[in-house]
Amino acid sequence: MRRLPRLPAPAPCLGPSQIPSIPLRAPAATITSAAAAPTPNPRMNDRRYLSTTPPNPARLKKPTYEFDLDLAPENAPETHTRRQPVPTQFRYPCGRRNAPNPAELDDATYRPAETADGLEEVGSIADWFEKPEHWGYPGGAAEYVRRAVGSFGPVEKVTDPVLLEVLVKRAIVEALVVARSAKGKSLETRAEVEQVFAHTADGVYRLRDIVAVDILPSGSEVATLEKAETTRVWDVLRGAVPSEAAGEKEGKKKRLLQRSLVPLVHARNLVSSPSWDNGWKKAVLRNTVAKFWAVKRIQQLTGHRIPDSKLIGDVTVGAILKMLEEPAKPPKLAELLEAKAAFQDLPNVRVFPRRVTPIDKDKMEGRWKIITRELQERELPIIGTGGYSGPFEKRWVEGK
Amino acid sequence: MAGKGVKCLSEALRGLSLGAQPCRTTPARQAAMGCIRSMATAVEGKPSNITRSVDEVYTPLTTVPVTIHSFPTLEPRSLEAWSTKHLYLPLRRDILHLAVVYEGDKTRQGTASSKTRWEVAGSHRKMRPQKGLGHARLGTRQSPLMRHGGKTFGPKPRDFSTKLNRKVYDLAWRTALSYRYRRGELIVTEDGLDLPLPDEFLYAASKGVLGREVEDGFVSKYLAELLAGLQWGREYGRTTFITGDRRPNLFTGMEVGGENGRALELDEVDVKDLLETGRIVIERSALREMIKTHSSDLVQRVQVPGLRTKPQLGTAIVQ
Repeated sequence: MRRLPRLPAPAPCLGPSQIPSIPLRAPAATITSAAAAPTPNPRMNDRRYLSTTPPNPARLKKPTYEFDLDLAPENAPETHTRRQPVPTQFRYPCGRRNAPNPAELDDATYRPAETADGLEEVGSIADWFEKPEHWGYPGGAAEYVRRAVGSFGPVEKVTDPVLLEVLVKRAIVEALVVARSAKGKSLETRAEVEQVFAHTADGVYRLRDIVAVDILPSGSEVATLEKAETTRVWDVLRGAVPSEAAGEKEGKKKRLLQRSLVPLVHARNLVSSPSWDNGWKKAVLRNTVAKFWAVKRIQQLTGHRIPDSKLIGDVTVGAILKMLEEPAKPPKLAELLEAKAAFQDLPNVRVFPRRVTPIDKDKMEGRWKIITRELQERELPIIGTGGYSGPFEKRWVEGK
Repeated sequence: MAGKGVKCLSEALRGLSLGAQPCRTTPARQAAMGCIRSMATAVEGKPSNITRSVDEVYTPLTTVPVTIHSFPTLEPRSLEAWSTKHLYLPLRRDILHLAVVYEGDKTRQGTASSKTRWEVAGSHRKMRPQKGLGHARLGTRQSPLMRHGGKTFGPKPRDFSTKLNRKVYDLAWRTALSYRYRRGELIVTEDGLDLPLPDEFLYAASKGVLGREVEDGFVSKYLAELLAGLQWGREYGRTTFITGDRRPNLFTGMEVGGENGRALELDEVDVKDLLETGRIVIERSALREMIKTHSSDLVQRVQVPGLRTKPQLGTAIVQ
């Protein structure tokens, strides 16, 4: 750990190098408990403080109850406190360079500027990272953060109602499979479920097979799956995970494919097919575990995060779908009146979508062009007071 | 015979119950319905069915789910069940108002002070003769009537704090949290909530080659973009992060980029802080500690064997 010293001037730049994979410093304490996190002890009156200490591997180990003097964190070698150089694509500011003295210049035409007019504005060094080109990506900071931090689910939320319908049904079926077979209870099965979901994060894999499952058996109002269906869907899903024999190459390829979303045409075909029945939307989701996996899978597939409070008690699948769909914008009064042709018979009534201002009235009368020209001739502001105060003599007249 | 009598009585009582009555509409309501005109903002819907038959078993909601997310990807990682008395209390604006006023009073500095005529320094010589000058009578220059004289009823340092019953204050804490929970503005993260700064920047910072201005500029921009991506930034009402102890990168980041939110340690949080900004992001252990320390009103003095004296803190459903 290091308290950042304030240097009088920035040192020469660190040379930019090849594009790296973007490693982030994972919060050290995500694995350990908060109390066991390697918390520094900063001076409280020192406002400005950043921890540059990498996470201590000795502390990240699971606690063992055997006391080993050599492996105790206090006695561990302090190698972890030193950060290893990381290749970067950031452009850091270079050191200060002084311009040559005008007297020493050979150029006879050179004349030093006496005013700031016409000089290029370079801004202060504090705005260095406001410029997109210094982040190493054309999209600047936004693109860097999006790549570095990542997101669980697509960056852009799915908004198309047809696509949402298909993806939500898939999520519900998969959630019921996981909840029914009590998968994800032990750490091993949980890891397996996470792996399967990660490999099918785009929702494309065997979509037709999974969506065709009936989640509302006759005579039931609660969303359930038959046992045979559960096994079948789980087997289908597990097929998405490449076997170890297939090698890392295929895995990489799959991971690249994850970026593509379900094609809209494909979803429309599914929904418009005669086998697509809307009865499943009436299914009630009651199982809390199934709800958790449904929410997680919906977030992964569509990018929508559903708050816990929306899923308390019995919630129908249709209600969940409705939460994700953006409500239609209510029409404006002017649009409604225009559509109805409400005042068409009244020649003296007109409807405007916004307030009619004095300028609008001038424009209707054809005065506005003349007013503008006259104001421009007198170099007066066309709109507003142009910084001039109001008539202060008015106060004298009014006796205030 | 006696059995028949009891049966008759129970039948009669069932007939009187609310559930047995087919429809309960008051004439006044019906009369009013006739002259209601349609308004654009009117919500049309059936009135909720609040009547309940005696045959139906009343099973009130006892727990609500709380998802624990990872930060900053917000992936749901685990699920806990929390008592409705902890995180699903009804909104009581009056209690929240009491708590906020109580905290405001308590945090008043109360150091305003002015001098009375007895404290103003200077000679106590009579300013002018009692009589003969045509002026009013005047004593010393410390008189409140004089410029630079003492202040008659001026402020003196005092304690402005007011009192509030501990149980009411604790109820206010959980009411504030419940309010956030109901609105979906309480995001619980895994322990160790911190701002993940990139390794390459931290390396440069550890070498000290950037200088304060550039470092601050980087952290500020990085944080702004991170929060904008989550829709948690300035346009979305800012975000309050609450952690168990001080996390250097998160807290420094929030001080540098304060327009997007704030970070607070658990000890610094007040009810008012829970009600400000667009959302509360709190780590799991901090929420647990917060509710644990503010549940004095839930302890029952009457102990029934087999029943808990107070609701259990969150229990894991999915780990």
